[in-house]
Amino acid sequence: MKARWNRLVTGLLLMIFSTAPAYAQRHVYVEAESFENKGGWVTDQQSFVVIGSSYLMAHGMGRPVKDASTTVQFPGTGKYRVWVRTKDWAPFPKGPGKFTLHLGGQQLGNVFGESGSDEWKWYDAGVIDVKETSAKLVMKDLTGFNGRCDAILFTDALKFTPPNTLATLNAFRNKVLHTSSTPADGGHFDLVVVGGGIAGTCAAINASRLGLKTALIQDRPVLGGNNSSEVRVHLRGDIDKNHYPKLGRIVREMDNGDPGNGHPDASEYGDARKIAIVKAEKNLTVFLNTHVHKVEKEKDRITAVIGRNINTNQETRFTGTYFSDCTGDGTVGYLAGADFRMGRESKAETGESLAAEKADSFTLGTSNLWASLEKDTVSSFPETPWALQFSDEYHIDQDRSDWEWETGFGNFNTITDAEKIRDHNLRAIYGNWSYLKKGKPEKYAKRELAWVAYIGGKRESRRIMGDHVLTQMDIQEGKRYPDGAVTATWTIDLHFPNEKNSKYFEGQEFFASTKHIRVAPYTIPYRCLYSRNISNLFMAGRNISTTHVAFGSTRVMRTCGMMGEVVGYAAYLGKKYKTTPRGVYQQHLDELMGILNDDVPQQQGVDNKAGRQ
Amino acid sequence: MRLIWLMIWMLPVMAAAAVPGEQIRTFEIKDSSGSTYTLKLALDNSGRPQYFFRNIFTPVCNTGECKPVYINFYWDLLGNYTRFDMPAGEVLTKTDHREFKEEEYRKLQEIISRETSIFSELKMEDLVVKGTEKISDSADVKTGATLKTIKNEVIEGAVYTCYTLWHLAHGSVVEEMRKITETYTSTALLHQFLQSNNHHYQYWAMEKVMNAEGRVQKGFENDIAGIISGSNIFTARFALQKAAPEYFTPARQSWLWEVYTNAAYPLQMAILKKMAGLRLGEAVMLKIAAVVTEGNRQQFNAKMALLADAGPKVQQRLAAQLVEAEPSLAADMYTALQKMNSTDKTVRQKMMQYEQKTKQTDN
Repeated sequence: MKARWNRLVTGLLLMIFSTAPAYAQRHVYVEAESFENKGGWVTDQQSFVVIGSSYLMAHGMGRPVKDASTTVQFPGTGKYRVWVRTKDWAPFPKGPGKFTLHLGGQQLGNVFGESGSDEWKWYDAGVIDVKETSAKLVMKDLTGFNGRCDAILFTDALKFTPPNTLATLNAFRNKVLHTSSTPADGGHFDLVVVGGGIAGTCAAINASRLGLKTALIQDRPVLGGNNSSEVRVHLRGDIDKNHYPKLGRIVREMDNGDPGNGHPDASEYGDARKIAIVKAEKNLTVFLNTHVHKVEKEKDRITAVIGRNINTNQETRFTGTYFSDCTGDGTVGYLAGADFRMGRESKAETGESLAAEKADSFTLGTSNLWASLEKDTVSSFPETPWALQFSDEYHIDQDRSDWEWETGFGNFNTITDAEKIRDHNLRAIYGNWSYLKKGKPEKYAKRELAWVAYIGGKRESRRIMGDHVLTQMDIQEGKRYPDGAVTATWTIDLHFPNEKNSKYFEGQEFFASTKHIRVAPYTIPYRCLYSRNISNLFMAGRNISTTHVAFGSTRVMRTCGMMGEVVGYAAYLGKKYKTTPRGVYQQHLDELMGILNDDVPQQQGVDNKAGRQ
Repeated sequence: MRLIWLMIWMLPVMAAAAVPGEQIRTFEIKDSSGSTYTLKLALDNSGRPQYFFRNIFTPVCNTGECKPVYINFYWDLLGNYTRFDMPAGEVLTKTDHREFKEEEYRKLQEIISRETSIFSELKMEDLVVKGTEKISDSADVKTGATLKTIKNEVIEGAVYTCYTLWHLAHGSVVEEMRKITETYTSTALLHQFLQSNNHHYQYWAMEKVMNAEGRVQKGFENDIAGIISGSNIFTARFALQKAAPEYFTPARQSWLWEVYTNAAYPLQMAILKKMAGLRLGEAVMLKIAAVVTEGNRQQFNAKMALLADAGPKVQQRLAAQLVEAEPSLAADMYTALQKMNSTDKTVRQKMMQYEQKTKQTDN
């Protein structure tokens, strides 16, 4: 019986029989992100660490998106109470994210998303009489302004209230959906790369071309991270000033030209090309839409990571010899107990002239870029009383965003407040756009929003500590360590809130300024690319071992991509000599540097060519 | 096409010139180099100042070659640049001697209009490759702007023109205009400024009619009220925050609550914060109590705090909502009423009803 239900609803439905034989509670837990037909709704996994799940969001830039629908199978007819897990994302005082739910054509409860509370919680949608065991559930967006739904619960225990804290909800969800009981076997790999941004993708490609069986796990449907069409940040940092002839070749393959930041045409960022390059590698298996949220360890080694599909919630376990944390947030390192830092160090601690006087939690912010296009006809944009408010006195007179559109700056935690940050960016974008359309029709009457990112382009979060921590002095004095491995060229580029923006939106800044501190090309030591206390963990990308100040220069994507390439080479040597990342530094540095300098013959015994189609 | 464009630019001037009785006062200003230029002030037929303008003739020099530029600039009375137009028969040209296109005139207006610009941060030698009009590849290193942004903020082939004109619009002339306008300060001008839609005028005048403690000069109360209830949220917030408590008489408190009802959320929050520092009269408290549950939780909390010392009438109004209000709000209202130790019969009765209702629900 249970097997049949499971088959019917693809894991969405489960019954819990209470221990008391006289009464059985029956719960039907529908994850919104698992709807069969998502219509115009999108899956958002950015708050996974906070709510333990992805959710579905109506990102229509002010125009209602198409309905999402799915078929719900009930274990029996009769009365069920309906609970809907949602929030009012902009309760100022009431948000615009309004939607309704309909089962078999009948509306469930009232309008959701306008409660005035931005806490994720269960809302009682009343009791329904289920007459058919199979019914169509439809989610109808009313505004196009980012209404969102995590899950819908039907329960025949009419007095049951579903749990709402992260731990209890996770336990409840896992129980009713069986998510964690038997993860699928993702396989064993020489190198498991977590994070499919530029750094992770370059790491995975390089390792696989060197003959390593490699997994690339990415929590979005596209590769490229901040350089994907979901975020649209252009690649920065030079590869032509590289000290190492071997490095930058894969970065160049990833490079789709320079469309600038926030180009309205998604294809400029080459998502399909990036995926095609990866899929052409025979030693490389890519797992998209998979969010890694758990690791398994033996002593100081990671043995496996477990990822959950952001749509189906299917769990998969990947075992490996080496792991590379290219998540940006340092998620793998964090879960494994790797030493890490977040925020600014003090001058006293690092001796850096650009460091803060006192250590604090300040980080660079997150951008949600956007662009508009000129159309033939005049259009309007809805009023946005729930958004930030602008006037002739202060507004941002732009038809397309650039890097300055940025929220964070210590006002919000870039990991645990990721949703708030994105939402704040949206309130700035929509509020400003609404003002421009009405207040400056001579310029904006015929312009329409073409694209607004709902995935945040995050700059800074955790930095995993390695055997070396790169500092401002390393950079400015141009220190060449024997393991100097990646050439970096970007200025020390530490953003701060724009002064005028601060004046008008103190504590709620969304617009940045910077001072570029110019640097001569310098090298990042290999020791910044592996964890100092997790013995088989590499890092590449923004979460490598640097101070906050040095990170201001290493963080750009071409540089991050070259870090990935180095990780690929180091993992290859690790496997060859059956040693740890640190072992590569201690015993095989000459060979690593030789490879980077292109002065040793290619490795033998590995068939690379077959992988390059 | 160009002719039409110039005609469009000329229209306001022609219109202005057509106003009968309009007067122009001229000022000879010495600049830092010691040379003199003429600044003009347009006055209406009653002699009230309207705006400043200059008929500019300036050399724009580059690569050893200078060319004359004729252009008219207009500013408001506080030296905020508003627009330019071209004298009849004059055009702007680029280094290759090609004339500005229509969109380049439009772009120039945008460039000069910017209060802050890369021109304020960068010297010409940092901006362009020496002796050329080409934007230097390292220009972005000296500023926060990217090269792309910098290119967006100049007109290619006319970087020197943009640079020169921006500095003419935003340079020392601004201070001269402000000095002149000071001499025209009068009650009438202050009213005019406060009632205008120009936030520069409003801030300037507010500084004059409100002292450091926020006491509003007699006769300007309504002007300040107009700003608080006006459409510019920033001037509204400024006036609200600056005005001293005594400005908010009981009558004005009630008026402020009307403003609250129609205000954007951030101003609503600013009003609640302001009210926390006032001795509220019963009339406004009754209004607040009537809508205490409207809005979000933060607003509910702020409103309840405003009503903490409320008398029996207000208590009654709160108590009347106990049974119907959303449970968590009702619970907070009940607690607040308990703290008020009300002896009012109706209030006690409503509280008991609420107690009974919650008891039933608990069962």
